[in-house]
Amino acid sequence: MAKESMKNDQKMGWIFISPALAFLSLTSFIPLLYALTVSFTNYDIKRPNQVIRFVGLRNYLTGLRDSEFITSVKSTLLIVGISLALEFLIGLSLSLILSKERRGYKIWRTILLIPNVIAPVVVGVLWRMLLNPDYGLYKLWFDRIGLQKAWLSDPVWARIAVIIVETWTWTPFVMLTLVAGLKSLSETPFEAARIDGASGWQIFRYITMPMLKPIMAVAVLLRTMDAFKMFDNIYVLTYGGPGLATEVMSLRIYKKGLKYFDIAVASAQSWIFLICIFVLSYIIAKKFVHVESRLE
Amino acid sequence: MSSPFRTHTILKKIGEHLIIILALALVVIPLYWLFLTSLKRPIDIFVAPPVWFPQGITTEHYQRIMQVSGVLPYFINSVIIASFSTLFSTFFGAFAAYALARVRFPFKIGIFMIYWILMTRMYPAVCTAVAYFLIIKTLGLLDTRAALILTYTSFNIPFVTWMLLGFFSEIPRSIEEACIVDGGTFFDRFARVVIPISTPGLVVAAVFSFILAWNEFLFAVILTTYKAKTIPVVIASFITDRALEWGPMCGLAFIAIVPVLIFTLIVQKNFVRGLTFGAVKE
Repeated sequence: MAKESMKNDQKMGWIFISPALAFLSLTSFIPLLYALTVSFTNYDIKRPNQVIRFVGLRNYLTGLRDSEFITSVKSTLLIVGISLALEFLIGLSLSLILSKERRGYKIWRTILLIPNVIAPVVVGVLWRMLLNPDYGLYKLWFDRIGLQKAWLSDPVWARIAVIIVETWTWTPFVMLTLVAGLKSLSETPFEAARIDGASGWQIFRYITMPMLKPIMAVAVLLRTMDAFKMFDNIYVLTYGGPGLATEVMSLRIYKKGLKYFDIAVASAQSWIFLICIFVLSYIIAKKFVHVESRLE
Repeated sequence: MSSPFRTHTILKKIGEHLIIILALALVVIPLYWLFLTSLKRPIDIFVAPPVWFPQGITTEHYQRIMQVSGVLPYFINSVIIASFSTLFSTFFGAFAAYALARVRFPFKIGIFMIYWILMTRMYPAVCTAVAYFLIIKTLGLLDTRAALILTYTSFNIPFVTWMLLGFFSEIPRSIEEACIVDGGTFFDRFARVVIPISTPGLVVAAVFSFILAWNEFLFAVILTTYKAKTIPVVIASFITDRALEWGPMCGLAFIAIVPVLIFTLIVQKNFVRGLTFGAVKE
């Protein structure tokens, strides 16, 4: 009887997961496999009659030698690196203050969350307006404190603008995650340290930080993966410009594949990008996060 | 207590409050500015120094968005696409999550699926964009709502499954055992026992799915050209085509923000759990 029902459960289980499997195949498995296949051929959408041949790693070599792609890798690393550092610096500081159970703090946390939930396109539009050279509110403020910069048309300052926008958008995420982490910590070690006369800095350095490490790791992992996805806000803010200054990898691959229709090389570059992200995520995840504990 | 200690605490408290106020200002000022611009008369928009409290306000931008620019069909597109994809992804995701939580599949398929779900969260969607565009083109679905419903359903299924897997595995098995004794099938246990007590989890999963579908831009801009455009695509085209129409643009942006804010308030309690893909609970 029990065995019979277990068999039945398994049959139903297959029915239960098959729609999800089908959908996942459609948007991830099939396109990824397709891109992988195309990346090893001479497929060219502009020459539909050409015989499709296997060309080995040619597209990968072209993709890696593509100077625009290399520039985009550098820009991405620069923008991602600096914004992540700022997000964690500001996010951690804010979380240390806002994790306290005081009146009103819950509402403040909710308000601070807003930049993270509104559409990135709206964020881009908003900042493009704020930094507008003639009437932008922030541009005028920056002018008054002596920072008269061409925010979105100077290569260096456009990058800084993108970093500011990224930090503005994602700091709330870091803050909120760390607040949740801080609130889950046990009080005992903190009390013991206080009784022993530890200073605020000592408590932070030797108790808070080590105990917060697992959640910090999750936050770093999620932020790293998401930071490389940045696309929408840059699309409306600078569209990669001026020149190639803010053209991140997502935008570059999008333009290569869907504007210039160089599909074979774009596919190869997609896979290079994918592999880098996988390796990076794997290193972070293997070290700090336990995935399989979720399964019984 | 000695007095220097007390002064120190008071200073610290003042400092903390200043930091909070600064942070709030950084968030609220741009949003207030956005809302304000959507209500300003055109003469008040393009002036320096900026006008903080305009003499008169107007709803002409909102009227223009709806009537002259004909944004209403795109708004309807957004509502339909986000709603249906939320419905489908929550539905199929819940099924998958229950099966993964309760059934031991052969050949470690359960674990394989978990890793696959995590992988979809990991890689940048742009890596599939070119191939996915060609697939949708081959299926003849370019510039249709169906294409975007299909896309967002797929995007949200991993999230819903993963979130609900967390909720389902917290349900003690003893609750379901009563149903087994009564001869309830696998489906009965799912539909009559597990789903009713997991409503909070379902709501969180659905709300996050809706927000993602409502805000999504990359695939919307790739897969649509005219008929099936969603609000984010229209907003983006505003900035490239009609750079100086700030009033209508801000109005549209504000319309795009409102539903998200309402939904955020609904799931406030479980927000961190949703944001962190279930990794952190508040």
